[in-house]
Amino acid sequence: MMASSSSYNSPCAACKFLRRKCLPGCVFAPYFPPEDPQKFINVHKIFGASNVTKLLNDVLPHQREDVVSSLAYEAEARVRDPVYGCVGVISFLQRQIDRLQKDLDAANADLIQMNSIQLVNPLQRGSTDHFYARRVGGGGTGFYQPLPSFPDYQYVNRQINRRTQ
Amino acid sequence: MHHFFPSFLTQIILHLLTQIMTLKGGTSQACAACKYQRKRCTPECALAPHFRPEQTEIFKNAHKLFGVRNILRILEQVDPAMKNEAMRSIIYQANMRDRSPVHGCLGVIYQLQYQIRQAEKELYTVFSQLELYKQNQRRQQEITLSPMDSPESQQLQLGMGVEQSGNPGLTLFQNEVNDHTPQQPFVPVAAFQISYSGNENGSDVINVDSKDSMNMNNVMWGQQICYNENNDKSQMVNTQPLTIQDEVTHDYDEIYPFFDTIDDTQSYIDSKEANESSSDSSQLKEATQSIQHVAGNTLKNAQLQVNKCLEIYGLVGGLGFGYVILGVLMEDIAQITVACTGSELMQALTFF
Repeated sequence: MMASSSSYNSPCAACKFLRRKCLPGCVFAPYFPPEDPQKFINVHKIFGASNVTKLLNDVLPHQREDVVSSLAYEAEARVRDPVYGCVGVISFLQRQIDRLQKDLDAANADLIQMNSIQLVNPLQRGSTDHFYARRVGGGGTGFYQPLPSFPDYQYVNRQINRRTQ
Repeated sequence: MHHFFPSFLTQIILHLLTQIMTLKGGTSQACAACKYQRKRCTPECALAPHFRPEQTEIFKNAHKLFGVRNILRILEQVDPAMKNEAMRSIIYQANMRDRSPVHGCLGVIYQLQYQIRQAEKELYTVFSQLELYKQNQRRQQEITLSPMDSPESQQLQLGMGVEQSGNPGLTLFQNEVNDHTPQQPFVPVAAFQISYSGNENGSDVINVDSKDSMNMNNVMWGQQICYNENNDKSQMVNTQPLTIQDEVTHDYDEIYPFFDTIDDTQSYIDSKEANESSSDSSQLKEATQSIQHVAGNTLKNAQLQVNKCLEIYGLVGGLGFGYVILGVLMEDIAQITVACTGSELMQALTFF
């Protein structure tokens, strides 16, 4: 990805597209190699080159790779789906989590009931010992980190609060 | 129809008032976009419906990520009916980028994928444990259904042969499965994992055409796995008629104390072997221990114990044994429950 050598040989994808000279200090050169022109085309179409420059300058140098990756992903998602973009993916994943959570709750409830039955009627002590080994989940709520879900997201003023539900 | 008309009229009036206020009003009514750009907010302002005057922070984020021109270009591309949705997603995306300047929405997606993987792992674990329980229950059924040597067990089995097909655990399962895991397909995210994780240029992302197509792709793929599992459960469950549940429960409780005594180290088999090699006192002691073990059980269990004595010692021996035990119990234990057991034993003996 860091094609620093190629910037001397050929202009980066950004400078090629913008039809300008690719200077050695080009901020786009490390992240937009000439072999992948579509990447910059998408990013420029959705966000604009000047915005990308500002975003890259706002972060530390070692973070810029990740910034470009995420911008490229979001840009491509928005090109494919102009209405929802990558937020459609988020909605889908959130619904999936809700579904999984419900399944987990139900399965854990079943497990508790089976566990209690086994405790009352231990037929084969040896084989049932491992049933009590660990109680899984607890509803699986421990791992669930709160994220703003798309339909319900309310972004209020930064000073007021950062809502994390 | 009559209720509809006034509300419709009210909406029209409100709309007109808003238009008038926008035309008449000055900078105080400018939308957040025009405020930020320090320009007059005209009625034709495309962003005015989406950015209320107080939403300056929100517009600032959107402007920082997209820019006004790009936002307008996106809005022009979509259908008028979907403009609100498009704007909402743009605002959300911009806010996520503000929240996390490095990863933005992709960070949210990674986090959600991680949570899904964790949940899947947990679900698989729970399902496998449930499967073990089911296997155990099946084994229990096989054991209770299989013919055994001792006449007591045969007697029991004769009494409850048909009901062995029932099982309170499975009936529970039936109730729970029908409520909680119906027709919703369980959709593994392996496809997403392959597509999105460690992805540098985003070109691996395929399933972002639209929400619907994504849903369909994953639903189709995941449906097979889900339905197989559900079918297994439903098959197992549907073979157990609910009507015999009470009988099964009742008999179920009775079997296990019986097996409990057989499996116990202080069982009659052991005491029998001990009897053959030791004196009467020790014999009585071990028998006493056996009886003490049973003392807490119900009348039926006492009956079973006496049956065992009858088998080992014969009728007279069994009766005598029972009387001896009574005496021992009255002397050594001197508990009301034991006395009751003794009287129950007497009743059991008179039964035979």
